[in-house]
Amino acid sequence: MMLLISLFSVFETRASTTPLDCKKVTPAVEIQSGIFVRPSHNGILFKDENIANIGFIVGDKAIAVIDTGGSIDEGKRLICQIKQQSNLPIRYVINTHVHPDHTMGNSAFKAENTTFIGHKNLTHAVGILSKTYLRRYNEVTGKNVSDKTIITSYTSVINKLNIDLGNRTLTLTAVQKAHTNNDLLVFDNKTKTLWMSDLLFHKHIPVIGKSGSVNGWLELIKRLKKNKIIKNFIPGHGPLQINWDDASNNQTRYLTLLRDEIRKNISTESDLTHAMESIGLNEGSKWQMFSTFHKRNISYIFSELEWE
Amino acid sequence: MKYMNTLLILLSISFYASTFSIALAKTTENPKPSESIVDQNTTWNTLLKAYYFEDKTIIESDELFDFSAPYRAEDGAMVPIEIVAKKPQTEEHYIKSLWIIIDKNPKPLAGKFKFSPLNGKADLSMRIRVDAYSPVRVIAETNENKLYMVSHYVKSSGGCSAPASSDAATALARLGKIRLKTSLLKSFEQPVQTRLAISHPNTSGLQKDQVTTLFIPPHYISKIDVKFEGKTIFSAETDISISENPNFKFYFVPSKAGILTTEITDTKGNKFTQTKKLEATIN
Ligand SMILES: [Zn+2]
Repeated sequence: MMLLISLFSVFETRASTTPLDCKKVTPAVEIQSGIFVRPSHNGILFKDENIANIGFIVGDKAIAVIDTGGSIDEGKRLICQIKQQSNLPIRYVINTHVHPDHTMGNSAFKAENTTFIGHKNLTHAVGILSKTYLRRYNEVTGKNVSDKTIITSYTSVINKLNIDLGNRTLTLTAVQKAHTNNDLLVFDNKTKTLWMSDLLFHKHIPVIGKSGSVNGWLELIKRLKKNKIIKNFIPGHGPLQINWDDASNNQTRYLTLLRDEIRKNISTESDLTHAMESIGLNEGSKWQMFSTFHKRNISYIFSELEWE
Repeated sequence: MKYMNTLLILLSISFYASTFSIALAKTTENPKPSESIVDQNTTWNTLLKAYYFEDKTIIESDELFDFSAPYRAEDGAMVPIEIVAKKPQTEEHYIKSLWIIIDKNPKPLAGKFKFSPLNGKADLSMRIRVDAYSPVRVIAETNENKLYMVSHYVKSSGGCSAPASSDAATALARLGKIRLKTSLLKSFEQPVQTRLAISHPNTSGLQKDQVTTLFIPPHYISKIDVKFEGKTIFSAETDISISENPNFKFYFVPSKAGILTTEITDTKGNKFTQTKKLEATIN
């Protein structure tokens, strides 16, 4: 066993020092005209790669990247996937929120002379969290990525911001606390596609961040469900082929159940352990990655609601 | 996905640890107690035991109480723990205090909780911060000055520096609100379950302000006193390892209907109080 591990790590080191051959990188999927997604598979942060749906949108004059993945290597592969499609300049990197599976590839785009854009709370969230993310990434992978690589300054979206890619306008909307306190929605006006990132989980259990709000999240989905303009939706985790009504209903059902049952627990016994052990067990068969995230969701939502 | 990382480290470490013990088992005929268990207790053995208990004897035994804590913390800033006493509190034999110690926290002693025969049973639940992979210990001191300890290893990280669950302004607006609840009183002379919840950020001094990213000064609850009809039934000295919005469950035996009062003191000298009338719902 020991031998296997050391062999494996030697292999890992070699692999990462070999220059990346862009031709060997699997192309991103064009899910709408000019909208490319590098699909993900379910996995554990830092241990697994490609665990979030990330991608890019191509206009007539420029390209915007939407999230950069969980490592610099993932970011570099995304650059390959972009170059496979277009040689237009990568003018913007948009981060949908601070979580490391969406932002740790950022520094791969430093050399591309891009503008980094995020929710107005993103800069602070990065300030508080990103060194911890990187330390854990290094602990887990055995790599030694310097925290000097962290992108620390972002163009803030306070409410809404339009960016022009040439005959294609993206509308970025900073939302209230939902999955985190720094979520950004990206809307492509051309194809009426809403890049929801982690505001929508598809088949993968919805995961709430410590800074998020179940109330805010439910409110947001309720509002989006009334919107008749949006035609396509891109989730942050799970398959890209999506039925919006089903996906949004499922997510709403899960989050509502947790919110209501946790409120009930707080107003009666107020017992976190019992809440984690008893609430929402019937949802187990309905979601992938349930056992990894369900109890933690309860713990976070309990903290949010205990003194609401 | 913020805390997935925690989980991952856990996974990878336990993976390496189990690989290591497999290797060890193969190479040694008489396996010694696992290396990692010795390591886990180093801080306690070399430092903390003497600091808190000098040269007193501590019996490692669950003879007096059960103690449960999650092996893996879902949220290191909010780790629920529970102590269930195995023997009733009597005038002859009772637990007079419970100490909660988290070895690897910046301030290991989370709190010292005092009990008496008035509690009926010395059960106690609360939520603590666990900053790193660490043993969590409960030490019970009896009225005969004997010490008993049960410990669990908890895999957690960043519990003391994790940002608060609500912003400072919201937390300030409800600072010191108290909920004091008791279970239905079915008969006197029976232990009544009491839940004490206080809205307080209990800042540890290790958390950063979300806006300025500067450290927030420590501000936490340091004293708890709960009286029934003027007599203390539950009291504690507490520190930064108690989670934000402290929440305790304990028991006491009312001999009659009466008034339950609580006084909470924090490190800024604020005092918060709450009273509750306890009436029999018995026939
Ligand atoms: Zn996320």
